[in-house]
Amino acid sequence: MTPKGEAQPKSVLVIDDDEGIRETLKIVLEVGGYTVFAAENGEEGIDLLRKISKPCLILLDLMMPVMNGWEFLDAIRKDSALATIPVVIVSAYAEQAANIKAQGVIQKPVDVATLMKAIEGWCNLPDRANT
Amino acid sequence: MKRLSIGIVLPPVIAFLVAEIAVNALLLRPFGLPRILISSLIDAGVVLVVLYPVLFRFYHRHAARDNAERKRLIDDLKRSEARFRSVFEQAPFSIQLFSPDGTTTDVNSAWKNLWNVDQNIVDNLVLGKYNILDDPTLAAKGIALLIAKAFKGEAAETTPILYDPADIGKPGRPRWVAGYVYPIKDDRDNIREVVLMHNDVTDRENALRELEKAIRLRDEFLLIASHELRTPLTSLGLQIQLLNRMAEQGTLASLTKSRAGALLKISQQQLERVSTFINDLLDVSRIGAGRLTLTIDKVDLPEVIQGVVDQFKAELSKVKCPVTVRADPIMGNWDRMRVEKIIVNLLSNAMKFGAGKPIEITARMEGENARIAVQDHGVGVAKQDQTRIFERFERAVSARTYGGLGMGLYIVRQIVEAHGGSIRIESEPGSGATFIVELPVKPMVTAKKP
Repeated sequence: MTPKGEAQPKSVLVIDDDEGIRETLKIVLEVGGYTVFAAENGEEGIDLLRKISKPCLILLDLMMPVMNGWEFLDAIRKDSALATIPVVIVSAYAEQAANIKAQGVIQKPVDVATLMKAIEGWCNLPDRANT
Repeated sequence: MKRLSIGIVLPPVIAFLVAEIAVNALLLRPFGLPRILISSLIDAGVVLVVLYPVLFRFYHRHAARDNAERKRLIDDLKRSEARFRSVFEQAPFSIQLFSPDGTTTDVNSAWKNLWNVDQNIVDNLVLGKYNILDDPTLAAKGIALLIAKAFKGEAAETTPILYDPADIGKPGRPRWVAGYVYPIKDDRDNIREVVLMHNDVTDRENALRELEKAIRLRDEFLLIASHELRTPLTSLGLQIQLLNRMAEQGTLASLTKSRAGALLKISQQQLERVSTFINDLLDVSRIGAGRLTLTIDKVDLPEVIQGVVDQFKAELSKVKCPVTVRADPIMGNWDRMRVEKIIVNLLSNAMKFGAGKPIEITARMEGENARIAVQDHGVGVAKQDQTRIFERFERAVSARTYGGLGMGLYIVRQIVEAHGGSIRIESEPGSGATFIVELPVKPMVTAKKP
């Protein structure tokens, strides 16, 4: 499952408190050729970001315990090492994401084609459906 | 009446006497004053004796007619006053009358009830004393302008205002009051009096607020419900789309066995979630319609508790919540599924709000009741939220942080109460919460036999 033309698989960080969504996104992205890291909430996400090499994209849920999506965004925007990582919000509350400074918003239920296209845009990995 | 008649008769008699004296004074001048006086008295006496019956009857008839008229007017006035008084006092809303200068001239019983004062206070502090145009609190309530308008001749209606007796150091509950104020004018358009009517609209306002709250809760509910449904649907949708995509790309065969297994397991979990959610919704709707019926059976409490803990084993280890169960052997006459639901919901809550901390479940007899306690060491519940959390669709924490519909504790409370039991919480914010359920082992309920 090595993507064409890329020696190094690109990595994506998925932050979602819902295990079902986290696990499904992980499989969907892995099948798409990405390395996937997953965190249950903002705090875990930040801890993870300090351990792994910078992912090309963060998929972020908004409503989460411990540290929610809004707080997570605030935190990484203040951290010069993490501030540049693009973040796409994946939320059932797209309207609540309206004034959030993120690179994109994907409404749940998620459309796989839209999702892959968005990720491809940020990770420069061609969507293999179109190759 | 007698005095009145004499009053009417006397003046002409005296006038006659004076005239008689004057005439005699002219005619009998040479005979001296005593003679004049004596003659005049005799003449007057003779005339009076002759004319008295005629005079008296004439004046008496007039006086009687005047009297009757006067009496009728007084009676009319009394009747009118009695009618006014009766309507005034019986009116279900408070009425206060003012003279054009703003001082109070009259208040009715409803007024006294509304402000919780007795006649003594009315007599000594209100009538002739209280001037509405000098009351500074009315400006604060925003109605001073409307009142002033009425004293200038224009009727006005006030929006409901909250009056708290505590503001004036009096006991009693706060009330919502709506006012109507208007001037009574005479023929020449001069203001004679100003009337202020107050209606206690507390019940209406409370109902309105309840309604607004219900609507707000419903909207919140719909928002969270759509989220709760969307989450498993998102997961299921993603899986189907993934498989579809792989089928189109012809890469389905590359799906490893472990991944396929993982996908199926997730699907199963998501389906269970949706179905639990729908069952909860049905329960809430049954409770709302008063149709929660119990299927009473012999229930082994420790067995039910252990069963639920076993069922949650995987989730408990994932959220790192070690559970200790200390349950005495207790058999109760309960609805088994619903008692299980109590434990499930309380344990889910403990896991959700006390992740990473131990949970203790205890069960023991206390009198006629089984006392079940589920204790966590999580965020806890603030005092002001401890009643609210048992209400339908209520939650003590923001939906931004913790998902969930606020149905769990509501369902638990309804089940417990349907069994004739009670539930309460003991909690200090930051140091966890203990939910204590007391269930009578022989519940006094109208239960349906299976």
